[in-house]
Amino acid sequence: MNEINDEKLIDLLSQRAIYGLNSAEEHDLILNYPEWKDDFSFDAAVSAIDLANLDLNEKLPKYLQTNILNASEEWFAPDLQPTFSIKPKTNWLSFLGWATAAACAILAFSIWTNRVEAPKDIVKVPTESLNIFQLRQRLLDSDKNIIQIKWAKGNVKDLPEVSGDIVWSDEKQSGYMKFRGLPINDSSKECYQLWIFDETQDEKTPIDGGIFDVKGNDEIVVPITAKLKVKNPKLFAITVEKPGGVVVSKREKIATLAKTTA
Amino acid sequence: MQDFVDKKIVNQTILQRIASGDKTAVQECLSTYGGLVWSLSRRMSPNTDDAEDAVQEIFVDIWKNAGRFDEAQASETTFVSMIARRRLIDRLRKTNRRPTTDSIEDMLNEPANRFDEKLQTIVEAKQAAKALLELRPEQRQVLQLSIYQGLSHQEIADALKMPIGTVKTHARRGILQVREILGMNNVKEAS
Repeated sequence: MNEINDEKLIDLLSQRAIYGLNSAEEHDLILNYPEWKDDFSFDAAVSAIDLANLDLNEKLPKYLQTNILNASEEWFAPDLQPTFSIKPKTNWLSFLGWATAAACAILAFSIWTNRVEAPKDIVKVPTESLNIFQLRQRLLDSDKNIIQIKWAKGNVKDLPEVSGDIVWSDEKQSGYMKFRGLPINDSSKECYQLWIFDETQDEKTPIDGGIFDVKGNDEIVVPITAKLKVKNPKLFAITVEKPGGVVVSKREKIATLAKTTA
Repeated sequence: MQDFVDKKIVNQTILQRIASGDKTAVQECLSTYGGLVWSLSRRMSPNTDDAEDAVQEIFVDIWKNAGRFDEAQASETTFVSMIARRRLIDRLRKTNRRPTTDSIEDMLNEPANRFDEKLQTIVEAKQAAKALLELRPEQRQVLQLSIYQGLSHQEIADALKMPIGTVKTHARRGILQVREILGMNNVKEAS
């Protein structure tokens, strides 16, 4: 296992450690190199390399520490942990607590005894879903100078009217776009791209605000990922571009736009 | 009996204590690895909001996987970094977003000994930096751009005006060499 000469395998393991694998690559690894799928020596090496460049004096902000500690209260709630209370437990709730504890213990034992088995891929561990609507609201609540503008019609005639708005905070350099009615795009052929026109940039070269796809008909919220610092934005435009977006838009298809009143 | 229990706890690592349900180890985990996770998250997230969410997800991952930590295979620092990196890569892949980074030019112009300036607190970081300095300059440069900057092999090839095959070879050989130098050849079950 230590000796490794297959270039394709090394490529896959390096790729996994640096960029992650797509499903085809993952399939390739599992199918063709099953004995290597649980090897994480490349991940360990890349993590070590990463460590070498980190600012190790950086500290986790207090408010985040508090949030995580609060979350840990739930995680370590007594009824989820094996307990050894000498008091008899008599009701169903406590029985459930014991059952959960027993299940945890069995699971822990199973994991322990199957250590050579592959972990069920940590990236696939279910996690709390990101509530982007709440994040948007938090941003709205946090900055009294925040910009909030409704979407207006772009230059594509046959496109239905889009409702929703864009919120942007210069102070936090962060913002969100909310849409309802923006058509689902075929991501193999096109994507949506946000452009931010502000006072720092020439109108010909607005700031790229990131690309996104619309995959459903429900209301969606998309975070803005401005590539440059934005100052006093005047106009936000969503264009339809080729997959992956473009550096400069021809502005042939403007799906929707939002203009400040100032 | 209490003395025995205390001694047992003292001899356990933070992650082992978390795995055994010791709530007090969480604070210690945050103090010890909070900065590391935050630093990684800030670098590998498109914005601060995203980094904040990522950090919280990563710590949940750490608690969930603490029981899988095996100190015979990797140190706690490596284990925590691996969990963090995987979560961050996963988030980036899911959203197809890129972290905000310095310009390629800035990165290319940085002195090669940049590593030395930042690594004073964790021995492993020093060892890793030392291992990096043993690489050929072009291998180190490719690893810098791909791991620290998140550039794809194609982007690195374009930036360095180097065939993509050569970029891949430098990356592969560089990682293999670091893995060898740091004695990580047999790390299984990362998490």
